[in-house]
Amino acid sequence: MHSESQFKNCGRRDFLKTSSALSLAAFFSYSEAAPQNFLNERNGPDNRPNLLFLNLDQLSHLALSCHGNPHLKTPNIDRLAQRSVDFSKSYTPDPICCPARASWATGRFPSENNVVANNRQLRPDLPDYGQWLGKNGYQTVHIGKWHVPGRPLHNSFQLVPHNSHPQGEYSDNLVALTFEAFLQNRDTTRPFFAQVGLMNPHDCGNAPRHAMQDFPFPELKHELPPYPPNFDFDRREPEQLKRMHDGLMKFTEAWTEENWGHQAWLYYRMVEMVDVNVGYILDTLERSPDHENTLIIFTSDHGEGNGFHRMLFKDNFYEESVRVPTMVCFPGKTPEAILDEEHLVSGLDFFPTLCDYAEIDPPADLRGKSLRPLLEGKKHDWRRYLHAQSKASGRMVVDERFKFVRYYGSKTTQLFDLNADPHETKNLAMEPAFAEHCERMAEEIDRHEASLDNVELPASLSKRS
Amino acid sequence: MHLSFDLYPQYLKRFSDAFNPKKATRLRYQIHAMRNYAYRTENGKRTGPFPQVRPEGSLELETNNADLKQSKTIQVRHIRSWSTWTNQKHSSAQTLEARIRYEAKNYGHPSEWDMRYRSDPVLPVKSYRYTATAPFQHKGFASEKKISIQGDSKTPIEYKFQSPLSTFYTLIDCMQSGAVKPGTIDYLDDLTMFRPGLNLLELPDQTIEIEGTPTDLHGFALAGPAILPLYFWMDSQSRILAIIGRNVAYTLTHAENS
Repeated sequence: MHSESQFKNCGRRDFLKTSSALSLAAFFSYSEAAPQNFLNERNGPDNRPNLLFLNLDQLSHLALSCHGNPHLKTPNIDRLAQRSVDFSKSYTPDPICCPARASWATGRFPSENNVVANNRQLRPDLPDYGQWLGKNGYQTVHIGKWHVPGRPLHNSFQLVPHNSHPQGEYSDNLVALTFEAFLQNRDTTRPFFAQVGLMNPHDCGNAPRHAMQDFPFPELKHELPPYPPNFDFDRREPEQLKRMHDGLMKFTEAWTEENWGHQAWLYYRMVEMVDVNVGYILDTLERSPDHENTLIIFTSDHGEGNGFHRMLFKDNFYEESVRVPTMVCFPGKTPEAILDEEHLVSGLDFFPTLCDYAEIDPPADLRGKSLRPLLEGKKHDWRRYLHAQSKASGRMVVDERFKFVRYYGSKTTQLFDLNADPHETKNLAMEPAFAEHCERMAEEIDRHEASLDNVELPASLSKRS
Repeated sequence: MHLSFDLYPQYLKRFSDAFNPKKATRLRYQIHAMRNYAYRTENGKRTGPFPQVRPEGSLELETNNADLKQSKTIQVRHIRSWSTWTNQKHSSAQTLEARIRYEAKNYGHPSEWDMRYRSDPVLPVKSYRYTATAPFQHKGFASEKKISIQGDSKTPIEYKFQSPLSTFYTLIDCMQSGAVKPGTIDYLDDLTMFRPGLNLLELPDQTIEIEGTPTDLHGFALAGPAILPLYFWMDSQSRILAIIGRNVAYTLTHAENS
């Protein structure tokens, strides 16, 4: 168990270190991101693959034309899917920005890395993937969104030419152009690890201020999506979730179908907007000498409610919020156009996958598994249960058929049959016929929880009674 | 009131000088970016209020003199200068400079251009330290329904266009010259990101108060796939006073015939 005080101390130490660093040499003298020459003493040229971790913000699994959504066109991400293994059952470790990103970076659950909510400080003793790959001979660069509190970017990456702007509308073109600048000027004596974080469709957080007004284009009104299929949903929700949901429904209670359609229309335009940026990044990479030796992992930190379950935004375990696209491609080395609907994949799997392809051992106690055996059709022992967390006290477990949700401090639980009811319209947790499944999955949460190295959280966050 | 005026009217400037948009012009816009919410929770404490909109760069456009039958040239200097957190001073700047030859009519169809892009640190900040990237250059061409962008690599990036092609910069000039009408265009955003099939729609006229004076505005919207609606609002002399997105607005601060 880790205590809160070390995080506070860490923040001040980091600040003092940052303030006193006057030169690149001084920076590298303390930076975990420093290149370690001894690790570059490989025999011959370093031909290990380049690693591009391309991530979006708030892209739901459902919001792509290659996943069957008729209300938008995403030709560039669809093109990537055609070259990739597209993991259909992919879930974020926590459906909100900082916890999801801290989990990607450390390969540990939010309850372990301390970022159980936005703006909580990362546990200082956990290495992140920028540091780890930098120590192991990679040129590491970060461009765009990071949002891992308590871990200054320059302590994780050797190059930081661009950090995040809150609005993708303003900055996502620039992220794509800065990636092009990096590719043209990079150190070609060693492979790169590039984390490229595009902001959109996260801008939908500001969409309601327009969506609550009449749609301004009569000529385009036919494009407004109708109510989603689960707009009327089962209101038997865990009390903690219900409080949040009720507040949101009060905010939108006067909305008409046109307002909901307007909101969804704006969200889909944001997805298409960032799809163009993804396309430009792919085009740039494909025309570079690095293309054939670059592994691409594409994903999003979480999804978006977008009217499904009469929800907006994220931070809950409904599929729209917690299920994200994950596509992986490595030209000539991984199969193309594969839709994997079998394996349960987590954002925690990216760090071990990157290490696997970089031919290095991962840090101890990573919770995810390398995707490489799945990508290369090799023998593997894959997980039966996938776990995720939310709002510090929420826990979700998914198996091949069911999703079970429990919040500490809430009496009501949820069980959905994802095969029979993919839109999660009927909570089966109250039905005696499913009591055995609830018990089995609750026990699985307990078993899993006991295996984690959780930090100590204030009661106000954990709601553990 | 049109919904695009929810955040930005206070930044609009009123112009009374004579202005002929069909002659050579020099324009300067201030960029205003919607930052986030007025209040934010940091380290468990509610902080703010913050200004929701901040000045974050500029756009300068200079055109030569030409009539509608000729091709024109526009010089572009587009700087986006900003920081991650709302109350920080600007910590980096991304600069796009370009020289575009384009048609004075036909939505400002670009025929060829040179573009230079760079990203520079401005200030060290508390939580991260920027590194500069070396600039890069493109040469672009558009003809026979094909756009070709030649950068550092041997193979250019190519797009096929079906509708009249335009760019943010040339569309501004053509719109204020009266050389556009509602229709469908293909759009090369930042001279790199291709967004085809956009609708250019005429907007209902508006009267809003600018610097205490009711001002009549007319305008167009660019809306459709792969873009958030952009609203172009012009005054009675066809100066484009503002181009308003949802989270970014460009407001005219200087306009003259050069």
